[in-house]
Amino acid sequence: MGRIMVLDDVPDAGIMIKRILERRGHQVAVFTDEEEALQHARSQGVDVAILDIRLKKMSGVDVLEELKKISPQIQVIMLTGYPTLETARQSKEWGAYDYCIKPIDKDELEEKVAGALAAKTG
Amino acid sequence: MAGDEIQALADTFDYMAVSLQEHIEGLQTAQKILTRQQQLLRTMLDMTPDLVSLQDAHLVYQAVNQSFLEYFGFRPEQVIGRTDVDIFPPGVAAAIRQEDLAILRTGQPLRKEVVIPRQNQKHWFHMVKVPIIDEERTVGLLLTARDITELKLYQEKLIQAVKMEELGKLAGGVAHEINTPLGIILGYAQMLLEDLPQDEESYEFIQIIEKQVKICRRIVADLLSFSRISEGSKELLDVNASLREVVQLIDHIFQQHWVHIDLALTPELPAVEGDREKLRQVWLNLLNNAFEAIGQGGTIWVRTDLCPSGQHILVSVADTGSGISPEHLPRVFDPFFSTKAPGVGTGLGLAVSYGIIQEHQGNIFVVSPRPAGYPVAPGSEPKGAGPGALFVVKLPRAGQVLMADDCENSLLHPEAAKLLSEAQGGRHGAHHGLG
Repeated sequence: MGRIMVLDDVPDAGIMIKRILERRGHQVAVFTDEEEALQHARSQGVDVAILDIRLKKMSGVDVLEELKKISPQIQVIMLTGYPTLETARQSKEWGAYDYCIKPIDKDELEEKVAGALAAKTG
Repeated sequence: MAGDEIQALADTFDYMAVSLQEHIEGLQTAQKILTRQQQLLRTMLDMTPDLVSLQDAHLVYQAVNQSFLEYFGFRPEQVIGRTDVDIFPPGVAAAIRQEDLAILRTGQPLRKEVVIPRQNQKHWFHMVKVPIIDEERTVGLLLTARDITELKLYQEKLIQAVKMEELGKLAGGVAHEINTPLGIILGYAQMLLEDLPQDEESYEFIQIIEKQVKICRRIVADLLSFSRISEGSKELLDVNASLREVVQLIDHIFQQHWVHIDLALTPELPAVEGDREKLRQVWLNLLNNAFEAIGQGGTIWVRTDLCPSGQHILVSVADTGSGISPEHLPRVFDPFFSTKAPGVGTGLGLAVSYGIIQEHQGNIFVVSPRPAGYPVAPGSEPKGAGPGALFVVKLPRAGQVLMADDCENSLLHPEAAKLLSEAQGGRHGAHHGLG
């Protein structure tokens, strides 16, 4: 079970992810604001962060970099609306654990979060 | 009569003779100048590519230039001294006569763009008809008509390109906005499926919702690839190999419906830089489209060619199917445009193909009916072949500084291309003559 952080500028989308992951026993915090999310990561600590690539102020990639500064151990899953190999390659290059294509499939999300947690502890 | 008087008379006659001689010489010179100028005018009129004709107040042809004769395939004696009724089909002639009489009556010139058919070709002309006024009386009608077919083709292409660009942006924006709510619906539906016993009716209903949302997801993904928002990975590809792979995949299915794929690929084409999967999708869409246009029994010709410039590769897919009606032709690449029954296709296949080819800095064109004699000689077409359609994809070769060429016209408009090359040949000839 892990500490998960979700950052998506559409509140309902973040809450939906929270509901899915809470069912698997994870502890989930949802944010729509980048600064608040980073503050949470600093003060509370996070195992896995799920970030939308498109956010209001910063890009998901910027948030990813900031998170890695807070702790390189944080595993990041990017959410993207564009299903391309390019996104996949770039996410990995920037240090993300993996990415999910929107609209998100529940089973896929669960698997990737489990994988990310395993990667962190392993 | 005195000798003096006779002498004076003789002198006068001499003087008169001389001045008469001078007068005649003057007249002859004037005549020569007039003739030379007439010839010059004639030459100028015959040299202009515009069609020019002069009719009198009764609309009888007084003069026409070489271009006019050549365009309609007339000899001068078939036109001069005759009217439109004598030389054009009745319906056409009547319409022209109405128009001409109005100009003569009102004295108002007429400017318009018209299609003037010739055999089975359509040429666009910018036409100007002006009444000729002499001493406040209308004495005739002067027509000039400039062939603007090529301009029209470019105009259509441009309008099409702009339209697709706009549609692409719109589709991409809509798709992106829809993805988020779609994801939320899908997420909650999947959670409900976890909670409900599988033997309950509600479980089945939620399963249907999940399935339908996944269909929406597929459509949105197609729209995104049409709108070019997505970026794939590019690699060096052999177009021939890519086509062969797809043809192999579907050949046996098509064969079951007696649809034969005739593959003739130009060997050793330069590579293109492209997305393997996406280009395969384009070939698949084009072949499927041809297959559906045929139904049962027919031929699909697949050809590859290298443009003479060496800069572009052409892939053409022609079929013996039912063809595309002229009113549908400008819309075949529009998203959701489909002539199939609802539910049979999403109408995104060609739109997606269009987007993919644009993404590859290429172009995709369509003509229907299939140009006569392409890709096989008119006599050797299969029995019962429909008007069909021809799709041409033009892709730039990899790693070259690109220059524009329009070699696809030789496939799409073989007649126009032939005329064009003849005209250019003629111009070159004249140039050599002068040099």
